[in-house]
Amino acid sequence: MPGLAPLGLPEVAAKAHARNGVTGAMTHGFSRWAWSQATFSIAGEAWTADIDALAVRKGAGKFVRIDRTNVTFPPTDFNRIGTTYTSLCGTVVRIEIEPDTGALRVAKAYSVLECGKALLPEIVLGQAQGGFAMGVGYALLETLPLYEDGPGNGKWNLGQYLVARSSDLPLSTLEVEVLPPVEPDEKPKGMAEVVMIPVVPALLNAIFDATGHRFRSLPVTRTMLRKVIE
Amino acid sequence: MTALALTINGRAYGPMDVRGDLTMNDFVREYLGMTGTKFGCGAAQCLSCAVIVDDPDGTSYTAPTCIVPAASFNGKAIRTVEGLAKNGELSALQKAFIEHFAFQCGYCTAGFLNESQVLLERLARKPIARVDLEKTIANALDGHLCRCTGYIKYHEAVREVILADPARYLAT
Repeated sequence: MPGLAPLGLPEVAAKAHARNGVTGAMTHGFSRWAWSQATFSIAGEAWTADIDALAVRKGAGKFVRIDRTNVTFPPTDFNRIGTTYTSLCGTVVRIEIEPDTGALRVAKAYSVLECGKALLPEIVLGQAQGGFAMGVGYALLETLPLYEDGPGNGKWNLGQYLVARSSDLPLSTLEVEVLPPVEPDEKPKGMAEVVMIPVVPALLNAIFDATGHRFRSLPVTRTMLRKVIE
Repeated sequence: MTALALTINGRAYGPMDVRGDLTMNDFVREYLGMTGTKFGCGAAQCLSCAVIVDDPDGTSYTAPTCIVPAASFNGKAIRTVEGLAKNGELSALQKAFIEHFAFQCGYCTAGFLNESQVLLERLARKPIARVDLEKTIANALDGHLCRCTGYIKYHEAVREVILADPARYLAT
């Protein structure tokens, strides 16, 4: 079935002008780790949005400001959110490197995290375990080289871009400790992938400790390890 | 066009004519609307698209569907994740996955469930020693990729189901 022809922007715009409908809108918003909010009366209905000013133009007319009510701005205290709402994470790893092959095994690992109040502790734990896996991937496996033979050639898949499999991880010896909030009424601070970040330097430091070699680029592959052990 | 007749979750489909280059993944998802089977890498590397194939001898295995022609499943009996629950009740494995939060984005979950189901049935036929359990689970699930969970919760969920019924899965 051919269906209807696509409706192009010129047709929509022409119709809006012909009917003296809305042909333009301007908004102003403000963010300080939260957005300003206001309510606007549009076509007789109250519309609340994360903006603090709104003007519309009808047909070829001028922009007209729409009066706002219930306007709120995030507290100025939120300016400090970057320093006060930081989730902290640290990781310790123990590794074993097989000299003949350069194969690295993470024998044991410990990650400690403080993320304020954990709203869903099971997901915080899962995210921490997943972050550990991603850290192992970034440190030891995952690579995106530039130029013609890199993934930019469109032919790469998971056969070349290696992510951590379960056999790359210390499944039974990874310990994750989620500390209680620093203050009893502390807000949830979020964690995202912070749990992945210390895994990489922990592995690189462990490799330095084991081999005496300080690697300056990632990933550190089996071949690279074998070379520095020789 | 090529003829296709197969059994999915106990129900017969076909015979019908399908394009020779139609993948099994497109057949299941787009023709039948069964979207529990996922499409991941499209190169049989991540196994999020794996379904269970039941052999006539009573054994089963998982197979990727993303790069495999639907026609190659002609005459076979398969199970998808939609077939794991019975009479509206989730399987023990599915319940354990939920209890352990053994998924986050959920994309690899169907593949993990199918692989784990095949493992459970294999152990029920041929129990293993308790001492070999963790290694057996690790070997069975290792081909499946997960970017969210770090795998631990999947392994714990499967382990719990097996340990809850040692008479069935473990050799004494």
